[in-house]
Amino acid sequence: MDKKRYTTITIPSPLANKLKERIEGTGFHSLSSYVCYILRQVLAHSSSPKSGEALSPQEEEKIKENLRSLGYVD
Amino acid sequence: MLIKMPKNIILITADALRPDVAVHLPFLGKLVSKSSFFSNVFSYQNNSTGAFYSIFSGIYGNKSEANSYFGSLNFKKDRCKLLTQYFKEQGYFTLAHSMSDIILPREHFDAYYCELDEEKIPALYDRMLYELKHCGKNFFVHFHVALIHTRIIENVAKKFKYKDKEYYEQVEKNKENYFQYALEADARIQHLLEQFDLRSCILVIYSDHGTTYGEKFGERFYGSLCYDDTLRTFALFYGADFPAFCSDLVVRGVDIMPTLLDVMNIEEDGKTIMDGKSLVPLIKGKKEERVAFSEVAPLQGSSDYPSPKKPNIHAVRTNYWKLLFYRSTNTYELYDLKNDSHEDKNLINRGLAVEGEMKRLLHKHLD
Repeated sequence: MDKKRYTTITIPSPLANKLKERIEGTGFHSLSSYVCYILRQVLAHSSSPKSGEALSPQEEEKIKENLRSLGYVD
Repeated sequence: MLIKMPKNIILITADALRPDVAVHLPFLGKLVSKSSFFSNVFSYQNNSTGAFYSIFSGIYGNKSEANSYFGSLNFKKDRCKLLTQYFKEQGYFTLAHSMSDIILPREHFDAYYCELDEEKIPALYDRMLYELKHCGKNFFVHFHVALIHTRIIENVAKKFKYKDKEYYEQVEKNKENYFQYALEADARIQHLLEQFDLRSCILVIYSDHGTTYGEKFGERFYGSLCYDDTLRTFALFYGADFPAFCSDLVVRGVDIMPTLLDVMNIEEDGKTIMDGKSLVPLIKGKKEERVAFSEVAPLQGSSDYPSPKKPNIHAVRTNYWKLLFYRSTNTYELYDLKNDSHEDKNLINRGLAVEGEMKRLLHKHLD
């Protein structure tokens, strides 16, 4: 038998209502798809320990220095 | 079976050169007619780092993590094999000029020169040509012709802020200025190529990203928004393996690397899968729709929603449609490029069937 592809997670109603307000006028068709999107973002951040935000101060300075010499930042 | 003789490989990046301008330049325009020329090559990013890393790895920056200027230090070498490495393993002498090593991956080059000062570049090129002449091997060389970038920085970035209305009100003047910069770049490429016997070479000239003249408020040149003018580039392949051919089908910057490997009969490394695909079948007449994926990570001071370390605008483009997703505002834009090539009329939420398909194509890259 196939494994179930979806499961149910409960969240507080006031939170769900706030999220519903946020997706109005966007491309998200349902609250579930929006919550999936947020959770994937959280996972993507946590599974990438050395993301751009995790550069050391020296590494950041190296990039900024390069950007200054390229003329993109003052 | 024909035995392929090794050929020298010359790559020239004509930084920020638009395809619609390239075809009107005195030197490049003539070369186009003798080459396999793709005029609708979509860059992964409209900044040099993301563009170069994707061209040299054949994969998009969302996989390699070279997805912004800051991303160059996060580049995941184990997820791809660089074009330079393929040629180095074939016994080639590998040599590069770049504006900066946060732009072009330094790995596997035998010699790598960073030079930004336009005054010093002719002398550097003389030195590189001497090294190529005396290396005693076939060579793989990259030249970064950055004159358009340099002139844009001098005359646009340093003079106008991204919200200066004055700049956006002088589009015609911006266009004329740009053409002068492009002429300078063209002359440099001509002078450089006159030093080579091209009969023994495969020459690839491409731009890393496009440039706008300021038609869209908020985008002075490139790197802030995600519209076509800043993402559309070109790729020109010249050599015995490339017949005179012109295509305006949508292809991608990531397709350049597999094309070169294909014509050189170099087998792709089985451990990594490229996003790009060889352009050779298209040159041979195959009609094929490719989907281009692009992202933008705007620098501080160049956008209302800067995100210099991580892309916050994403897009997919087919031959006729384009979908953009703005992460910072969680909004989409959809354009019918066949009838609206300037991306003026946003068709999102109009109930078009294509919207769902474009979202599926986009989220395949994002999820």
